[in-house]
Amino acid sequence: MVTVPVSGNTLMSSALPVFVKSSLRYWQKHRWQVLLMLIGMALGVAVVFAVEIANASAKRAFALSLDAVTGRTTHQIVGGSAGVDEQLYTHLRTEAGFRRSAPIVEGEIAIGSESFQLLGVDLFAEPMFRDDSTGSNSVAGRGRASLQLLDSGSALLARTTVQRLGLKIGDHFSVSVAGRDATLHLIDVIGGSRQAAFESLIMVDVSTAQQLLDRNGRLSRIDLVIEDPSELDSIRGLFPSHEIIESQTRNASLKQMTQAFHTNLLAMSLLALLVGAFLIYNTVTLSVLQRRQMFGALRVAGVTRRELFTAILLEATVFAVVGTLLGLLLGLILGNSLLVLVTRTINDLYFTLDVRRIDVSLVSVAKALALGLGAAVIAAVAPALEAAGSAPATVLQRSSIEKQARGMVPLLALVGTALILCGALIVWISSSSLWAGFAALLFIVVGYSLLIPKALMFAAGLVSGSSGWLRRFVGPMGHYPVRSLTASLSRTSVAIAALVVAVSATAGVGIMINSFRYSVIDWLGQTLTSDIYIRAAESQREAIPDALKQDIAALDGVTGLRVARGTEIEASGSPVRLLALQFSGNGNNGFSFRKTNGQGHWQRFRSGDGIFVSEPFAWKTGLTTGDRVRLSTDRGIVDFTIEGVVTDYSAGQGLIIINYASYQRYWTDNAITSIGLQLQPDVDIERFKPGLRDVLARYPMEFSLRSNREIREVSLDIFDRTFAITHVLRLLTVGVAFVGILSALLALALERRQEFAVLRSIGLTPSELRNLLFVQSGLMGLVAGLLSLPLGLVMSKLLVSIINVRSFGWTMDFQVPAGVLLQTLLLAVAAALIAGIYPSAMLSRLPPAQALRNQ
Amino acid sequence: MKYTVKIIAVCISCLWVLCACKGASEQPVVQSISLHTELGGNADGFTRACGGREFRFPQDHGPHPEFRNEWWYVTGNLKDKKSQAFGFHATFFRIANRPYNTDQPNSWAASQFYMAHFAITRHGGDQVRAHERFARAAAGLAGAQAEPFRVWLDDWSINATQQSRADKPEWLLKLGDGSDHLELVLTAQKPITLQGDQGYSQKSSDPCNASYYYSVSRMTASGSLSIDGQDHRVDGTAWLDREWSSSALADDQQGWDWFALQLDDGRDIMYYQLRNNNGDRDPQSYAAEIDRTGGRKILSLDDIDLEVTRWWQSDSGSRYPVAGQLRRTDTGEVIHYEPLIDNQELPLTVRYWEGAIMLSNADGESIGTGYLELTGY
Amino acid sequence: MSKSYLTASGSETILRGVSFDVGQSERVALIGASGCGKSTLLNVIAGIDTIDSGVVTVAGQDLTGLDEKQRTLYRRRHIGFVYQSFNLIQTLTAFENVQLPLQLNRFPTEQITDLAQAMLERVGLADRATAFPDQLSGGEQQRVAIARAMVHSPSLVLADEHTGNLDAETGRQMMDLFSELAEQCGQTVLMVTHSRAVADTADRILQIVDGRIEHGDSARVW
Repeated sequence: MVTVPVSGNTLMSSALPVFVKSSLRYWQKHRWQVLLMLIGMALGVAVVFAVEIANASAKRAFALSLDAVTGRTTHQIVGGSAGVDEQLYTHLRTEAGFRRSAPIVEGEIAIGSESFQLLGVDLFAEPMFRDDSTGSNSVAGRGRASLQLLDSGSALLARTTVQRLGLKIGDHFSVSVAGRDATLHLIDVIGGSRQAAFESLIMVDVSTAQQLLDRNGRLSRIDLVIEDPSELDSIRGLFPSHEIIESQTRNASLKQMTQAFHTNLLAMSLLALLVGAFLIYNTVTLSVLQRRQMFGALRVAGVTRRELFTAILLEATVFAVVGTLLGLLLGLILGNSLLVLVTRTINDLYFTLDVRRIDVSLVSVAKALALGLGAAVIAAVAPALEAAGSAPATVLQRSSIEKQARGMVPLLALVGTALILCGALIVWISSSSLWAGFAALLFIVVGYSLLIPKALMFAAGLVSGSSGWLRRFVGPMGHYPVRSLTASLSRTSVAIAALVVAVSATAGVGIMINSFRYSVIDWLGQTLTSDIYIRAAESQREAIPDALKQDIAALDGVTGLRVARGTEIEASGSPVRLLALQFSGNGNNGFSFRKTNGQGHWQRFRSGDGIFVSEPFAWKTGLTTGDRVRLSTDRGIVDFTIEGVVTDYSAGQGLIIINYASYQRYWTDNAITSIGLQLQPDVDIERFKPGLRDVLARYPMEFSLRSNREIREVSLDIFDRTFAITHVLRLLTVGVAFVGILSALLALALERRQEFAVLRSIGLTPSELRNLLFVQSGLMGLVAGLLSLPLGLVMSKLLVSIINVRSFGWTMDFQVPAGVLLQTLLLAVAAALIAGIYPSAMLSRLPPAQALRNQ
Repeated sequence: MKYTVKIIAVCISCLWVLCACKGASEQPVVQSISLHTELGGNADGFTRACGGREFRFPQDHGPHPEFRNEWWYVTGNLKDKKSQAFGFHATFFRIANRPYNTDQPNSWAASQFYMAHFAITRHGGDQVRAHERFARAAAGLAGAQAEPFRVWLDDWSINATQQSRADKPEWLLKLGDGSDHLELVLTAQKPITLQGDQGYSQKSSDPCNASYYYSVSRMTASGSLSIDGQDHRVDGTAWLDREWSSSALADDQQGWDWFALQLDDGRDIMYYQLRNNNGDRDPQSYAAEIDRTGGRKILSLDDIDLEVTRWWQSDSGSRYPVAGQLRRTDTGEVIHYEPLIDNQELPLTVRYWEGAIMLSNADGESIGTGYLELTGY
Repeated sequence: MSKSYLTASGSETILRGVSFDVGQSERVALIGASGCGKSTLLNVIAGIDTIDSGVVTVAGQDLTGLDEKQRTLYRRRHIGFVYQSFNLIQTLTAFENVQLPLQLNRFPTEQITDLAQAMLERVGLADRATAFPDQLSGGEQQRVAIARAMVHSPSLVLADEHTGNLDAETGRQMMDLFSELAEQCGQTVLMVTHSRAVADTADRILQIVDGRIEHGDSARVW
C-alpha cells in the first residue's frame, strides 16, 4: 500500500508487508480502539472545521455584501447621524458636475423575522458603481421592466432569497421597518454568479428607501469614484462639514470589527483539537504497547529503528487521513448549526448579517486538513519514537515502555513548568496582541498537561498512604483502583490530561461567562437608573414634543426624567453608537467610570464639548481620557474631548455618550429615542403604567413601555444568546474528551482482563468487579476534575483579564462562583463514570474461565 | 422631429443597473423591447396629439409632462478662426416612465427621466465623439422649465440668456464630458416655425399617432469648443427642433432619413422620409422650405427626389446612405450632400447615424451646411 | 459430569461422565495428558466454569444449582487456587495480595493484617511483604500465591500445575510447603500435575484419559 522512503536498508521491503499484515490483524482485533480514535479525531477536526467554515461563511457573506454595496466606490461622503442632505448630492452632480457619484439610502428592514439590509440606489447613477459591464449595452435584453424600480415600492431580491421565501416575480410581500409595516413589490430577481452578495439585501430605489425608512430629504451617504487626488481636494472643498472616508479603509475596519470574535471561536475550537490529539497519542501509545512483541520480533529480525518509526508513523497517518476526512464531513453538518449561532451573535453584537448557506472554501478545507493531520502525526511521533527507540530485547519486555514513561515524568514536569513560565512571560511582555494572549493560553494549557503525570503520582502516593477511607467506601481492595491507575501511568495520564484540558476549558469559560454576566448585571443595575422607559421608534425623526415631557413629568410619582437619543455615526471610519443623554431631577448618574479626566469631568461633560466613551471604544481607538475624538456632525467636523471612560456592555462596536444639549448644538436632530422615568420608591409600576399610557395615547406616535426589570431580563436574554455558541463549543470539547477517556478505560480494562479473571477466581463477584472498575473511572474523573480547577481558574483569569480585553475592550470583575467549580468536578466525574459504564459492564460479564484458559 | 429619440427611449430600458443582474441573460426577457410598444403602443394615461392646438411661448419652450416623450434637439455646423469645420449635436430627451403625477411621495420619486446626447465631429477626424447621460426627473438632477427657460441633466444644460425673448430665443448651451466641451450662445435668426399643420405633425394614418412640433431653423451659434482637449473659438449656425408626443409610429414603419439643410442663400429646407417595412416612402413623410424671413412653404412629396450616391458601412455592420443628392422636380434645384466625415454613427445606447453634412450644387460649389439623421439601418 | 465447549469446528466434549469423590482432608492428584480436561475439571470444581450435565458437590453444596454470584461467593469462601503462572495482582504488594481473600471474606481489619502477616511468615516471606510481584523471583511469587490460596482457610485448595514454572529444586520446596500447610490446616487438596514427584505426595491419584477418569494407583500410571 505504501512505499517508504528509507535510506539504505532493503530489509524494509520485506519487513513492511509483515508489518502491514500484522497491523491490519491487530487493528481488526481492536476495532473499537480504531473506532474511538477515529471518532475522537473526527470530532476534534469537526469542531475546528465547523468553526472555521462558520467563521469563513459569516466573514465572506459580510465581505460580499459589503463589496456589493461598495462596488467600485473609492470614497464616501458621510454626514452626522442624520446622514447627508440630498441637496448636496444634487449640487455635486449639477453645479459641481461630479458625475462619478451615487446616492445611497440604507437601513435595516425585516421580512418576517429575518433581517435584511435595505439598499436604496439610483439606477441611473449605478452603472458607474456597482456594474462590472462597460456600458449599458451589455445588459441589453432586460426590457423596460428595469425602469419599474423607479416605481414606489418596487424591490429586487437575490434569486436564492426569493426561492427561500417562496416568492415569485410580481408578488407583493410584507416588510417591517422599525416596527412599521409596509408592502413591497418584487419586480425582478438578482440572479447570476454574484447573487450571493445580495442575499441579505433588499434593493429599492432611493425614493422608496427614503419612504420606508422615513428619511425623506436625507441620504445615508454619497458614494464616489475618485481617480485623481485633486478631485478629492475639490470635493473636500465642496463639503467642508462632511467627512469623506476611503471605502477600503471603512470596509477593512468593518471587517475587522468581528475579527476578535472569530479568533476567539477558532481558539476554542483548537482546544477541541488538542483534546483530540491527546486521544490519538493515547491510542497510538496503547497500540505500540500491545504490539511490543511484534516490534521486538521485527527489531530482532533486523528492521531498523528508522523503518519501525516510519512504519508506525505511516500507520498513524493513515488513521489521521481517515479521521480527518470523517471530521470534515461531520464538521460540514456541524458548521450549519454553528453558523446560525455565529450569525446570531454577530447580529447581537455588531451588525445585521444574514448568512444562510455554509460556504466551504478550499482554504478552509486545507486548514482543517493540515491541522487534523498535523495534530495526529505529531501526537503519534512520541509513541513511535518510544517503540523504535527501545533496544530489541527491551521491546519484548512487558513493562519497559511503562518504565520509560515513568522515567520521563520529571522531565515532562520540567518542560511543563518551563512552558507555563513562558506563557506567563508572554502575557507580561505583550500588551495588546490578541494572538499573544492565545499563545500564552496555549503554552499554559500544554505546560499544565505535562505536569499531570507528576501530579498523578503525587496524588496516588497520598491516596495509597491513607487507603482506609477508600476501602470503607468501596469495600475490599480499596487501594487496587489507585494502584492500577498509577501502574499504567503512560496511558492514564494522557486520558486524564485530555479530560483536564476539556474540563478546565469548560470551567475557565464558565467562570469567564459568569464574571461577564455578573458584570453585566452590575452594570445594568447602575445604568438603568430609571424605573420605566418609554421608547419611540428608532427612525422617528420628529421630536417628541416638549409637551409630552411636561405631561409625563407632571404625572404623580415621577421624580425625574432622563431623555436619550441613540443613533449610529461614523468615527474613524467605523460605525459607533452615539448616545445623547439629558438629565433632570436627581438620582445617580448611571455611569460607572473606569477612568476620568481629573476633576470637573462632569462639569465639562454637561457644559462643554466633553464626551464619555465606552471601554471598547477606548480600546479600539487607543484613545483615553483627555484625548480628542473627531466626529463629523451636522455642523461640520468637531473635536470632542474624552472626559471619561465608562463601562458599557451594550455596544460591541463602541459607544460615545454626549450631553443632549451638546448633541443638539452640533446635530440638527430633535428626536428622542427614549425617555426614562424615575419614580418615587413607593410607586407600584404596574399601577403607574395605565396612567402613563393614557398620556402617551394623546400623541400620534407609537411608543413602547418597558420597566427596568423587563429591560434587565431582555438584556440578559441577549447576553445568554450571545454566549450560546461558546456553550456549544465547550460541550463539544468535553465530548471529545469523553471519547478519549472511554477509549483509555476500554484499553485499560482489556489489558487487565487476565488480572480481573484472577480476581474473579479468588472470589470477586461480577458486581464487585463492576463497582471496582466504576470506582476506578470515577477516581480518574475526580482526579481530572480536581486537576482542572487550578487550570480552569488560570484560564478564566486569562480570558477575563487578557483575552476579553484584547478582543473586545471589555473589562469585568473576576467572579468565581462555587457553583461553577462544583460543576467542573461533577462534569469530570460524570464524564468518566459514564465512560466507565460500558468497559466495567463488559468486563464483569466476561467469564473468568475463558481469560484464565487463554493465559 | 427626431424619431431617433424614440428608439433610444426604448433602448433606455435596456439600461440595466447592477452587475449582479448580468446573469439575467439566462432568464426569459421580462418584457421584450419593441420600438412599437414605445412609440406606437399603449399611451394610456398620457395626453395624445390628435389634432391642432394653440402654441404659446415661452410656455411651450418648457416641458409637457402629460405627454410621453419630448425633446430639445440642437444640431449645427461651426467653424473656428482657421476655418476648421465642426459639427455638433446636443439633445435632451424627456421620457415618461409612468403617466405624470404631481402628487409624489418625496423629492426622489420620479415618473419621468431624462436622457441627453452630446456629440461633436471635427472635419478630418476619425469619428464622431459622442457622450450620453441619464438622470431621473427628480431631486433636481434633471428637468426642464419654461420661465426662465432651462433644461438640464447633471451639469449639462441649456439656459435662456437675459436677452432671450419668447419668440426669439437666445439660449446658452453648456455640455462637457472628459476632454470634450461645448459652450455656445444660440441666437434665433428666424422666428419659430410650427411644423406640419400649425404644429400638429401626423406620423401615420391614425390621426393620434402624431406629435406637436416646432423648430427654429436658423440660429447663430457662437462660443467655445474643446475637442479632445483642443480649444477652439467657434461660430456657425444651429437648428433647434422641439417635439412632444405620446405615440407616433405605426406598425409597418421601419425608420427614417431626416435632413435639416441650411443654405447660404438664407433658405432652410427640412425633409424627412419615413420608410415602411417594404422600403417605400411613407405618405406621411414631410418636406418644407423656410425662407430667409421665416415664411414656411410645405413642399409636395412628389417634387422631392432623393438619390443615394454613396453608402458607408460602420464597424458595427450597418450600412448608411451617407452621400447623395436631393432633386426638386418643381424648381430643378439639385443639392448634393457629403458627410463632414463618414463615421458619424453614435455608439450610444442605441446606434444611429447623426452627422454634419456639407452641401454643394451641381458644379461642386459649396452652398451650405446641414445635419442628416439616419435610423433603422 | 460432562462438559463441552463450543469451538470453531463445532462442539468439543472435554469431560464425559467424570465421577469421583474426594474425602475431607484428602489429597488427590489429577494426572493426564495435555488437553485431557484436567484444568477444566478444576475450574468446574472451583465454580469458575459450569458443567452441562451432572452434579458437583463441594462441602455439601451442590454447585450446579448456583448462579454466577452464588458460585463466586462459594468460591470466595471455600476455594483456594494456585496457578502455574502464579497470577498475582501486579499492582499489589505481596502482603496486599495475601490480604485479598481475607478482605473479600469481610474479615475484621485487625484480623486481616494478623492473618496475612502470619501467613507470609509461614511461607518464609515476612521480609518481602512490601515487594511487588515483579520484584520477586518465581519461587517467591508462588509462595505468595500459596499463601493467598490458603490464608482464609478454604475447605478445598486447588492447584493447577503449581510447580510447572519452577525449577526442580524450587518445585520440590514448593510442594513440601504446600503439603505441609495443607496438612496443618486439614484442607482438602486437589492438584493437577505432570510431575510424578508431585503426584506421589498425594493420597490418591486419578488419571484422566479422554475426559474420563481411570482409577488406579500411582504404580499403574507411572
